[in-house]
Amino acid sequence: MSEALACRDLSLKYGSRSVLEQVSLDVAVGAWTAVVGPNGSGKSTLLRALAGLMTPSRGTVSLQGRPLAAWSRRERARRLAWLAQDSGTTNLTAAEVVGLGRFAHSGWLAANKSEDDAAMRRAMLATGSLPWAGRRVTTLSGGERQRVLLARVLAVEAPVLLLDEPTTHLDPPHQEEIARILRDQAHGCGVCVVSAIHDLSLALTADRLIVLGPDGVIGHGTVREALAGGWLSTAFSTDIDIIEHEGAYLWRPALEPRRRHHA
Amino acid sequence: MVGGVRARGKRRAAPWFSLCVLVLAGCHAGVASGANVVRDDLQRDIHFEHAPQRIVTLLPSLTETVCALGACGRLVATDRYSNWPSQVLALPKAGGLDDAEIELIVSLKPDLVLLSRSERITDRLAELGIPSFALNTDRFADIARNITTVGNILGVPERASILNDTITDEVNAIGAQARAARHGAEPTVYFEVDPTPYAAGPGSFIGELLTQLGTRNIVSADLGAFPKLNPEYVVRENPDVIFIADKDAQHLSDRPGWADIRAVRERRLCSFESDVSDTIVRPGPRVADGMHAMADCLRRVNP
Amino acid sequence: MNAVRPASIALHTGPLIDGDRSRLYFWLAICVATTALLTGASLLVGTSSIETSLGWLTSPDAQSSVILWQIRLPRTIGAWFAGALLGLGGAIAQGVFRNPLAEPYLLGTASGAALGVTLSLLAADASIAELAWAGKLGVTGAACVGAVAAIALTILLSRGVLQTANQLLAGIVVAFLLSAVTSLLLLTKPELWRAMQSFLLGSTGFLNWSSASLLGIVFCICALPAALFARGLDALSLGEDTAASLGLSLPKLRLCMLGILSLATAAAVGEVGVVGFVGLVAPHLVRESVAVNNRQLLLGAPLCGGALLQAADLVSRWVIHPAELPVGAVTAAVGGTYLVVLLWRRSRRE
Repeated sequence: MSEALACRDLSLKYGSRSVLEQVSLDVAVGAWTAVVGPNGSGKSTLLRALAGLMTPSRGTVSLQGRPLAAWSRRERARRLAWLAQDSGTTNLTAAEVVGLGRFAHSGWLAANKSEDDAAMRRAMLATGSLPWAGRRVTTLSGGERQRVLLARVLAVEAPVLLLDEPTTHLDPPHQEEIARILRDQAHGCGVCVVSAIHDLSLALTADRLIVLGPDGVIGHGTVREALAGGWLSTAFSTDIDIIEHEGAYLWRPALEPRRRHHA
Repeated sequence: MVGGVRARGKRRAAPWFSLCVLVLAGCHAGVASGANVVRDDLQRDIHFEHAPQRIVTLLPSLTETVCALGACGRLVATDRYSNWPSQVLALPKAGGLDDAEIELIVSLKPDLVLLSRSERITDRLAELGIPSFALNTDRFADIARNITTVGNILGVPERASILNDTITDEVNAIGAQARAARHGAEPTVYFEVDPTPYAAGPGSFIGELLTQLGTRNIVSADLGAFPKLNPEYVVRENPDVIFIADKDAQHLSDRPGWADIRAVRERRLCSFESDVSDTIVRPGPRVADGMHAMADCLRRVNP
Repeated sequence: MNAVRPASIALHTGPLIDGDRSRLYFWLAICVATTALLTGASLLVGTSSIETSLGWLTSPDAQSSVILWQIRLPRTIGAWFAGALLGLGGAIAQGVFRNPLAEPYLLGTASGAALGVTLSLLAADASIAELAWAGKLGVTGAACVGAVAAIALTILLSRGVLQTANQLLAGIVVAFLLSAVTSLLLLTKPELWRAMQSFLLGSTGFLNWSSASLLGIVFCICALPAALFARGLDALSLGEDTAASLGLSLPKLRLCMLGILSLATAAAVGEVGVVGFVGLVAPHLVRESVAVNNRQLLLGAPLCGGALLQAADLVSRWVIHPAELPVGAVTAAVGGTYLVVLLWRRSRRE
């Protein structure tokens, strides 16, 4: 099967300011890829371009082998689900929000009721948000709301999931849950999951990394490859100390004064 | 538009000045244009050393008053709406009712500006040292009063008195004729000032004319001079005659329920050309002409 | 990961849990009952006392039949439909612009309609050949055309339906521009100021059966597609990016919604003039009483707006009868008071 998501020679600009130049990536299926890098390196921009929410100044993004533009809007929406960093303010109930995830499948009139119900049920079970299906999202806590939004994304049942900072502002247990769900989706359901993650230790629980630096993509590969190549240190222009402990990679903040890395 | 200018209280020349003037006036007995102190409708006492010779009028009825008193030659400018008599059309126009052109007025060096009480520039003129005189021109009684006052100011009190008598006689004659000519009860009338609909009540100038003509206004006095009516009211009152602008007269039967009104059904509608309607809406010396037109129409549609 | 569907867990996939649903139905019932009550009251209130009107109902004569069935009934029904159109427009505007202060006149419609009316009055008054079309359309038609033209100009100025902020800005610019042109035109004929003022304050005085039917037809044309596309507004409330990723064509949704908005507002403004606050307050009232999604809002706001304008019409006829207040002044007084109360309650909550 052709790559679920890929880009070739992608160049992204905001006005005249260039954010990324000549990026070519293949995003792996059945794996969770985390995009890491310093602020302003273009994590969100890259994700938005991959999701088709932003037009690149040059290059193409392809979804399941075909360029994004070749898909109809609806077809693309069925195959690519996006979780925004900012959830907006909405008055809807959790069930209604999750139901919106079925928009691409059943359209304006919510035609395939039973299919939709089943997908929504699965999504809400996976995120553990079933108990508050009837509550307004404005009455939920941050962690609960994020799980509902994630359920909305899962309800699309798309082969590609793109998530922009899904764990920001959440406390550790909730961050864990989100990470667990993303991993389950990637490994268990064979979904291609790409997320921008701020927190290094959490990002290191992913399978693969795309590391962005001040000058573009530093590297793209497994976590082990990233660590071996010192990509993180290059990206952040400083020594990033990663230790391995019981099979997990952890970032150890170094508080003693250090020599700055110059790439 | 009411009350743009608040009365500033009495303005007096220093008392000794008036005294001197009076003494001088007494010394020069027999001179027609003697010194004069006249109170205007803003409660100011305006002092006239001599009869004004360069006059600006900022209200059509005041223009007509000045001309009816034979002093048209003394006018140097009028407002843009003054259109009678035809010789005033050639005069410079100093703006409208709310936006008088101060610069133009000042440049003409008038020795008197006649304006309405609600004119906004009164204070400005006073600052610039230009004498102004404010007159109320809302009601029928204001006509005679203003003619007398203006005649006094212009130094032609006898002509004013004659004019007043003439007007009174004409108005009375028309009124008597109208009342005598009708058969049976007073006709009920509805005078529409605006298609919103705004009506002219008995307390307005137009309403007073209608009363003089022996008609009964469907609007009662307690509703004010120009009430905004519920259109249903006109249907209920079923007036015999409707006074209305020509352009609205054609669409009266489109209004819900109005097709059944007697005046609409039998086309007892009175509309006037703009030059005639000027005489009806301006409380001025041509009031008799306006009344005449209204009486004519009444006679025609309500035999 | 495909979980076995546990039959024991009931998923409330309906839009509301029972508590909310019953509140909504109750609220809808209140609206309908209020409308019926107001319609009945409208038959009794006017230039006659209530006893007289009741007498007319039992023993009618020719004139009272005309007053009841040709004047009062179409007037109140027309007022309801106009209010419903304004309520619908307000709900759409608040959904499309995601701004609770949005209202139907946002894109310059009021100024456009005023300009149309001015041109029509000038045409009637001065017989200018170029304005003959305005004269032929009459005040109603000219107001409608003006309103639609203003929205078209706004969309053109903001270069399409892409950027919401641009549209709001363009709407303000268009409103000011058209107001200025209107004022300049009225300078040439100040006698028309009174007519313009009565248009700007709104009037339900001459609503007859044909206006009421027109408003009713336009309402049906607008309400159905609005209810259909309401889900798009729900998606939009999650954010523009999210909505786009769900497969929604944002430009198409906006264009469609703005089209409905312009038609609804133009029809209402054409028939009753510029009546303010109804479009702003009706959606707020619905949201404060019952929490709703956009489909329910787009159904509830018209019901509320219709009742509001009916009530305002009733008050305007009753307070100083047989004279009448401009209905826009009543809605401003009531609407303004309601907003003050709303703000006070909000600040108290915090």
